[in-house]
Amino acid sequence: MDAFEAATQFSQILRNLTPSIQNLTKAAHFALRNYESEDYLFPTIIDVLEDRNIELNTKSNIFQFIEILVSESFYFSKQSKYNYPYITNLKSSLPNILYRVLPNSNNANIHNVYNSLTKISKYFKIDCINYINKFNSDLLTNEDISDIDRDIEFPDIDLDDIKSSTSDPLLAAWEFLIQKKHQSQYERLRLLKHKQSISGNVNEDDLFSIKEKSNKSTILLSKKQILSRMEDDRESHKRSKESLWVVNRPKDANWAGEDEFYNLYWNKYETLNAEEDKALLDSLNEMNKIVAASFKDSQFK
Amino acid sequence: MPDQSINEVGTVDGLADVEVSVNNSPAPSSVPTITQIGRPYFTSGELKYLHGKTIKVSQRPHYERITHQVFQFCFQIIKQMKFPLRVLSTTMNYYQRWYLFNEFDINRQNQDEMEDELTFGSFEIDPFIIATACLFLACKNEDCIKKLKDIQTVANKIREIDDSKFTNERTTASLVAAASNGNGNNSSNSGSGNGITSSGNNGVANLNQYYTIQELQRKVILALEFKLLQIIKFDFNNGGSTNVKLTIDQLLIQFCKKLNINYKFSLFCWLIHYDIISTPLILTVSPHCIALAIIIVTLNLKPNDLKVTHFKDVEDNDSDINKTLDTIDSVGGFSCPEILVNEAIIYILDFYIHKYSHSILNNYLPPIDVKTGKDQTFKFMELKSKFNDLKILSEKSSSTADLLQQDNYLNPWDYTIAGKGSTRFMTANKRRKFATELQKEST
Repeated sequence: MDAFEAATQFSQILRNLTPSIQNLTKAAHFALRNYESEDYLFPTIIDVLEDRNIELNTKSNIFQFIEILVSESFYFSKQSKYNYPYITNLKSSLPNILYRVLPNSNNANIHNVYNSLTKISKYFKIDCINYINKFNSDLLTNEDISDIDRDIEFPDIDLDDIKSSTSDPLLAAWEFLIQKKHQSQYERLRLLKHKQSISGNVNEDDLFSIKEKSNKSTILLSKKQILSRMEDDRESHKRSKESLWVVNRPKDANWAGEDEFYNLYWNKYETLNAEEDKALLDSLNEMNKIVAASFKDSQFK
Repeated sequence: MPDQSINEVGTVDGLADVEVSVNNSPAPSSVPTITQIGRPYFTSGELKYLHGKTIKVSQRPHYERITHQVFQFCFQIIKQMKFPLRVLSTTMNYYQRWYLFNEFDINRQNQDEMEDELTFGSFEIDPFIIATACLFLACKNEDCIKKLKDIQTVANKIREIDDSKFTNERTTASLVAAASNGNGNNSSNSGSGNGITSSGNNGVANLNQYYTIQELQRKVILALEFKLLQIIKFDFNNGGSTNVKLTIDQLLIQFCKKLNINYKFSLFCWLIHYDIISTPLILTVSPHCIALAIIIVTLNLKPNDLKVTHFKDVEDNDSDINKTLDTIDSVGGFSCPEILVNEAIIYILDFYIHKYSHSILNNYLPPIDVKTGKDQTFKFMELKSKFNDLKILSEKSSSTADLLQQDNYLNPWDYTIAGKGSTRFMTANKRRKFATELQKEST
């Protein structure tokens, strides 16, 4: 496949991306298979994100795809044939990509972006715990509160400013994300303070009528898009939970081996402190009652 | 107020089934309801009695062989689905529990296989399909949820089954069509299983008149799951406490860390645990007592010749190990009733004395013990002779056939009652709640 053909096909793949893990991985593998055309394929990602007709949901999917692409690229590069394709380009463009995925004041994608960025930072071995804490904290200042009282819109976030203050693009991406989170908290409170709330029942159509049918803007979502997004988020939530339990074992293993013990037990568990130990013993005592009741003879006290 | 008769049956010390029959009207249409208080653990006498009903003596070796195969099969599934080991442990718990109340019939199964019988009935008794159903429920209970279809795909690939093939079981739609087609006897019913059959009198070909293996398996697994839920008495804590889900592996490593046991011995413990999760010991003794028993066995065996690759720590000397052994206070330090720990110790030693060559441990130890120059099995035998006078579980209440027969909990479970929605399951620690309800009802 020549580079031009690959780019056209890749653009189609990105436009029709769904957030199922198979679909995302398939797209990432396509990109990696055609790693020699990176000069054409990478700009395609940016082009698709910049396309005015691309809706928010697709942008969220594309960001999840980027996360998979990073992880797969690191994985593929264990073979000598691959030399970390896409990694440099993706990393340096991260702030711009985020800027496209979280456009203007719409922060519908913020949580998915946060999840993916956390994982991307892990692949790059960058400690982002401060940002994670910040993201999950209350970012509003006293000044913000008084601005909210005066119903002032959150000031525009200047990406260039952020980029010039931080040398590492990944950290700049985090800075940008934190500001977006700040904005989302700010706007939420402003909405609660200055907009009338409706009490009573609202019928389903009104509830979803965020976007007029004639409105061609891609910033707001239609009912169909909202519902499909709920379904997609459910899927990606399930996927994010999977990472909590996934155990990789060698392909030819016939039983669980020493590596599993070493990584998932020996290195994972710490000695309990006195308080935790007591809590454990309490639940064991609770279990003993069930065990005792299970036998007809009185076995122990 | 309906007229109620409350009938508590089969109790020795107030446990077992409580049958409550409620009469809503003077008419004889009484609906029996059963409240069952789950008894997740059974003495070995009870297990023997239950197996006596479900597995013929001549089939016992087959049952053991197939259980071993099922264990391997389930490990292959969890490996490919990347499930943690606790899913395997829970699966084996369910699988073994299943055969306490359901018949194991290798002859019928073999016959079905020979005749290439692909029906609901033949799938329902296939131990590997039962194991898949157990695994499906276990993965949900262990919070590692995967779609049944994905599990089936992996399972069938392992078993080298082409699940797109058609079975001999007609789809509901085709049955309805056949019924509306007069007497329904025109359509070809020879069970050709090719999925494309002519409906006879009108000559129109009906596609998909038969289920594919995949579709039928799905139906069977979901039906089995519902039965399985009744067998485990809807106890999602696997006989544990409600606050924290406790599995042998987690408790084991926690106890090892608490006792400051070195890497090699901890690994040895973990390997024993891996062998033990496929045995009926998990139906007799609770996870914490099994964990402690494994540690005690390990510290007594002092397996310094275990092959390890990761972590070569300095060997502890024997007197230090004995000191650790002496400090173990099973009740005070680990909330483990001694009698249960003893039961588990004896079981584990017996297991290795008889089945060492089939065990996982066998792959990690040299065939001949370096210190004694004898076969590894001797170490287990020697240790068992040391533990000969341990007090184990009392079996007074299950010592005679009469006593066992009186226990309604051990009777074959009637799934149809639950089908009518009149069965209630409780865990033993909620029994007090039920007692107050009974009191209220009777006033």
